[in-house]
Amino acid sequence: MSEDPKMPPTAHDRRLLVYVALFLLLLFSLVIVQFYKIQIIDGDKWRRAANRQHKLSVIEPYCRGVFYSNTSIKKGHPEKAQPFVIDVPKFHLYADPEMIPEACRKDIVKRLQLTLDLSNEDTQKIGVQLAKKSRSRKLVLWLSREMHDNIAKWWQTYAKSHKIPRNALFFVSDYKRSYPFGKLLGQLLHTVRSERDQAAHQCIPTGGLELSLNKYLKGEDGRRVILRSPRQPLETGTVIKQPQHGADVYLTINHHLQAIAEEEIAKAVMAANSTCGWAVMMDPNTGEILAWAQYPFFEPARYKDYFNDPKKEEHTKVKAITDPYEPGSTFKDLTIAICLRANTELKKQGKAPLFSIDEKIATKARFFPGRNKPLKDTHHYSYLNMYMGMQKSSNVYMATMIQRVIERMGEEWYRKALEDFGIGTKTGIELPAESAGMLPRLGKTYPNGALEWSKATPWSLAMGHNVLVNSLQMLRVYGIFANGGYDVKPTLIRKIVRKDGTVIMEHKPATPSRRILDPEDVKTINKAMRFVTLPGGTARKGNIPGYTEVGKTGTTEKVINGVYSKKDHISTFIGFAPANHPRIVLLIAIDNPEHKYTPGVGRNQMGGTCAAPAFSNIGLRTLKYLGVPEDDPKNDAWDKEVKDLKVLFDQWNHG
Amino acid sequence: MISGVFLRLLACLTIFSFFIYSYLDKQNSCTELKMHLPKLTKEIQAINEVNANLQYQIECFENPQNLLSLAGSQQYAHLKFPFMEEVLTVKEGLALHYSAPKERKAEPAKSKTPIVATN
Repeated sequence: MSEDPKMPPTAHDRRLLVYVALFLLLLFSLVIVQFYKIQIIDGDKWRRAANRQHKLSVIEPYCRGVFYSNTSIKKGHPEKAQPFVIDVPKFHLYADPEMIPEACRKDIVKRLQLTLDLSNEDTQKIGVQLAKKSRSRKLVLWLSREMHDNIAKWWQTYAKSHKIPRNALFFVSDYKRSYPFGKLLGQLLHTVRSERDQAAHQCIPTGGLELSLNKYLKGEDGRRVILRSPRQPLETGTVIKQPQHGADVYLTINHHLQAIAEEEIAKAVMAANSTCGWAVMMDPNTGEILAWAQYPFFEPARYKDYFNDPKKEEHTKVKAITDPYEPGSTFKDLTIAICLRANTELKKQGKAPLFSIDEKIATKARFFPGRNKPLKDTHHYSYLNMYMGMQKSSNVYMATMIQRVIERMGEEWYRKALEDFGIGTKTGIELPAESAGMLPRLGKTYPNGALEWSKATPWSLAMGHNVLVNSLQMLRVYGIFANGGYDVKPTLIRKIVRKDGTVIMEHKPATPSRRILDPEDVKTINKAMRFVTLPGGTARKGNIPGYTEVGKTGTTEKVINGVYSKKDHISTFIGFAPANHPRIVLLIAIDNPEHKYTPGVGRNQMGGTCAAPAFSNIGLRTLKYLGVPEDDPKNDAWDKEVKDLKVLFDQWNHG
Repeated sequence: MISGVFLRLLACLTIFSFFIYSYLDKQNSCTELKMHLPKLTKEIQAINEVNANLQYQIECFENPQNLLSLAGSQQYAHLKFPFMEEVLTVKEGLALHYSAPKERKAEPAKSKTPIVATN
């Protein structure tokens, strides 16, 4: 380079300048190439790495579907939708242990224990979680907004003073299944576990409707991205995928009727000093279940207490469908219905009928084919007609009638008729674990080699023995009597609706429904059952003041260790009201009522003593609530018929 | 000649500056609003949470078991459920027409039947 600044640059200077420029250009090109490699060629890799380092993807929870009460059963009383369960927003506390210095961990655990009032065991668990090498550990579940704010307030100052990134502790919101009505409808609703399935991040139902309708109730979680930056405040972020909420289920059950049924069934179980009891109410025309109560109750919010205690676990079952029983005398109406059906068929064929309603039938204890003991009634009756047979719940009368059915129509016809009423098949109610019960099959054997359908089976079936039914099957049978002889399918669901208003499923009763019984036969059966709750009947306590009602009691001995127990019973009452235009059909079952005799009251274990009063109370309160006008205000609508029947009965039996 | 060009240029620059200024001002206002968004979102979320919690509290109070026990108390003993035949259901339009102040005449009530309007 020339030394004099006024001198023009020499060729050497120019060459040098070009070399320097080229060198700088080369360096710049290298930078460009490196940029190209990082940004374009390895762009995805570094983007992923950066996201891992700076961003945290958390779940944006979906809202599980809700169960609504049936608020449209009262005329002129439109009510707002009433949920049985509400998803309340709560928070889970998470930690990013890698961001928390080891020296601070003990202090944090201690502060959390004080703020959240945790037990020593829970505190230890938090310590274990914080010691793990992970970027996301769950510390505490289901925190309320207040607790959330308390922790956030303390943490912000603590993190600042200890120079810990603020996002080292963070919250994730979630919805908690909450039950505003507490135990109401507990066994049917059930609940979901407090912790979700780890893999699918879905709620785990514990049973009931939550389990059977899980595919409709569940939704799909969304995703939210949070920056790990220390400056980033808690709980901000961008939702990158919106959650898909679950569909809502509109039940047929009304919360007021449910409360009435639960209150009364609890009283009945306590009064009978029994172990358990249930009441199921149905609209006989549509099959909609209006109330379904079981005592002792099950509180979904405290489900862990129940499942961790073998004694309490029993109360989580819906016994009306899971525990089949021998129906006993409540089956006698079915026996009469089948006899009347046989009569109608024979008349159509131009043949002589099986029997007439007023026929005087000998009902003294006697032997029936296949039985090694004579069949007898609890009281001695010489002669009865059909009305008296029902009123006195006579075993001999029913067996005599079925003997005629077998002789004229055959055993297969009889079994087919029982099947037509739904005996031995599931009702298809939308609940898990329904038992189909057991109807003996012709020509089949039990595991011990004994015939399911022996020679004596028809006489046992006639009085409700040698057959197992669930309560809903019996309710369906009485529903058929109540609605004029049409088949009816019990249901718990009116409709299932997505959050956007799309109806996924809607219950519409089958029209026209299959006719099971002739209308005249239905009237005859209902007339016969009317005597049960009137003077001379077995269930006077089942009478609903101000209304006409129809019903039948049943008291059966339970099978304990393979033999009938004389002290363990299941007592039932099934009926409907008002008699002429039934609004409800109601079943009451009392399991294991105390075996005792109370002077002036009677034998406690009888259905007429322990179950019938609950029928009367629930029936009365329900009809009042529904605004059904009284059709028997003085309770004397059938006085004349009752007196006439008594005169004839005395003539035949005490004359 | 030169002063005329200068004046025109000055006018153009002034107008251009004014538009630039108003554009930037608008941008600033937008940014200010955008800055408020996260806070507002958080507030809405908090209100929704409070709403859900209040809804839960209301439902707890309206527990039918509570209502039934209240209905059984002496204070409400005079209340009763109306029978279906006592409830007249009229269409909403008709009910509104009936209660229009101009057409309403002061007549003594003929019946004590409750009227419930439905859709």
